[in-house]
Amino acid sequence: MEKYEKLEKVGEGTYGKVYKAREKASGSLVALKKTRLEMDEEGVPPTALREVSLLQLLSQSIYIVRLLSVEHVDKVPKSQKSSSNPLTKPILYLVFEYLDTDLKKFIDSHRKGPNPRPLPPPLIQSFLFQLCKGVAHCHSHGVLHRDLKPQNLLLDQHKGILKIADLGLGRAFTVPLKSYTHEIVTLWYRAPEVLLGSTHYSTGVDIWSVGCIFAEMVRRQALFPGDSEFQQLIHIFKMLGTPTEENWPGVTSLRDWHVYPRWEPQSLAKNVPSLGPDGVDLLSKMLKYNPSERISAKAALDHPYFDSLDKSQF
Amino acid sequence: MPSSSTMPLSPDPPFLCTEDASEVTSDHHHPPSPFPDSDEAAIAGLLDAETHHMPEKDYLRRCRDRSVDVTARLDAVNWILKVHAFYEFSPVTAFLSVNYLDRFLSRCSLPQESGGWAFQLLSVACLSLAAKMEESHVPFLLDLQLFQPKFVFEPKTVQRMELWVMSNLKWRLRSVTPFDYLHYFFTKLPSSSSQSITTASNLILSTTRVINFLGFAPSTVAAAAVQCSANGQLPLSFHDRLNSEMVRCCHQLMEEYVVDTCPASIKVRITEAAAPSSPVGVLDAATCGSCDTPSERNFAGSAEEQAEPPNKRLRSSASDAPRR
Repeated sequence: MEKYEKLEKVGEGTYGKVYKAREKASGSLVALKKTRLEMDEEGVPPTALREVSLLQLLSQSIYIVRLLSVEHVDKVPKSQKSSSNPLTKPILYLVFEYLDTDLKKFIDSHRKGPNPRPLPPPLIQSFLFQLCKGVAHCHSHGVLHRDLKPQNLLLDQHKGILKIADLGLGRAFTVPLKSYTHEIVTLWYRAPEVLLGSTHYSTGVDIWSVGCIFAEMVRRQALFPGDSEFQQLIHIFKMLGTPTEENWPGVTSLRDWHVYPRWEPQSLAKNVPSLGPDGVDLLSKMLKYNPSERISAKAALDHPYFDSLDKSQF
Repeated sequence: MPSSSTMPLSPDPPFLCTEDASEVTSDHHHPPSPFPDSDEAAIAGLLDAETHHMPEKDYLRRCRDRSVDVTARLDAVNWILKVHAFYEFSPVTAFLSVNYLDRFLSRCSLPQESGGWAFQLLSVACLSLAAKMEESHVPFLLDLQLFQPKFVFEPKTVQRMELWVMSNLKWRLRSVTPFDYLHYFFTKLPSSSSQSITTASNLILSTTRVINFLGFAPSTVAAAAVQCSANGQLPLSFHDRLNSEMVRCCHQLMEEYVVDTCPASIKVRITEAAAPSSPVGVLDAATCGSCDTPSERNFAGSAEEQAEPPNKRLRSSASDAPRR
């Protein structure tokens, strides 16, 4: 790791600290994601395994953060330095291209601070298009991200580029669908089928998250900011109406379904007032209750909302 | 925790590697998985990528000429399949474990004088990695080491081996397997049942014990397994990029070494026994009579090697049989 000069700590990842660093030879900036391989009962964490192997597969897309290398270091703790046979602590560094901010910070900077202002509609359109491109790339390679949220979308502000990061919860899917773990994705962006206990979910979980992120860029605040799984469902039901067997066949058979109060759907347009009709239509297709009716990432790219976008730049 | 005193894995293990393990990024993507809205494109992607997830091109030859300890390999595969059955892991997990094992062995030599601990450690690491890639719930490393192993490895030792395996596989753990093709290939048959799919899955798992199947690409193994389990129904073609002669040859090998007769005895031989023992002679029995399984990869061996007559292939002696 002598190749890199650590500059500052920029955050905490799924399983370790993230540093901004400079590659000494080229002078280029990189992000070092440090994974301490604690000597616990499980060896290399599954999150690290999946992230590296999935990035190996996906990282060639410009809409996915680029993994430059993986460095395995055996660190000698200070207490062992004088020992002739020191016990070393293995550390894994994932070396990524460096991007200067993320979508959460970017939205926050437009909501509070010295100059609060809406995100420019063409920028929202561009960011959403890039996000759909990245998600389509993941899905076409048989990968669910499962933890899409503004903090995991890195931005190069100067170039107007958005990239998907943090595939620690990502996993491969095949057909027919397998039973997956239920405790995934930050609550605010979690799809209703996951909240209701489904373990046979698919690409729709990522599309729901994309819809929530789309609305958040427009509103500059989260669409469904629940603080528990139950409250999260209530937020969703109050806005979109309580789901029924008519609009979501099988919903009442899901593991965590209870008899909920019957809320009528509100106008989605009123909750994203600055979004035009095409945008509202796309958002409504991303937030369909029935996962099989939710628009795919690939189909979203052809939605009329993007007609005014110069797609040649992508 | 008990652990073998012979096996601490130092930061620089005594294994001989044929390439720089630090190289990580690669142009070879894992392709799309089978995916409802673009089956044809997905399968094309799988076919493009599958050879990048196979062992090195000379591995089958090295197994046949005993440069690789095929008896130890078979013991390792049998252990993986037993633990896989015990924990009811998905078939993909077991196949991936063996894929990692073979890819590692095709690049690295394990120490010969290890008394078996190196192979056992490699088996634990490969199964652990595959389970962590595929399973929702993964047992602790100590709980994975079932069936009275000769050595029990501490988690930190297994972790070092995991890292060693991963770096040698260039962190490409999303291997293409025959299971990626199964459902697509079954759609090519006039009719199929879940029983047929289960039978094909079991056949695919059974091929991991027989080194000759290492010469076939995952798509070929999948097609042969589907044919073998399809009660005589044969599609005109599974895919126009599949070599039908290779599929026929693989199918014949399956009939000869994995099932007694195909498909009638499959139900008896495979579905009843979770981990049927391999008969003597399976280890590296010569390939099917009419075609000598040259490796199916783009970079298959030399013409002379491919032209080698079947009777020159070593057949297993009693000493090659797995120790009971």
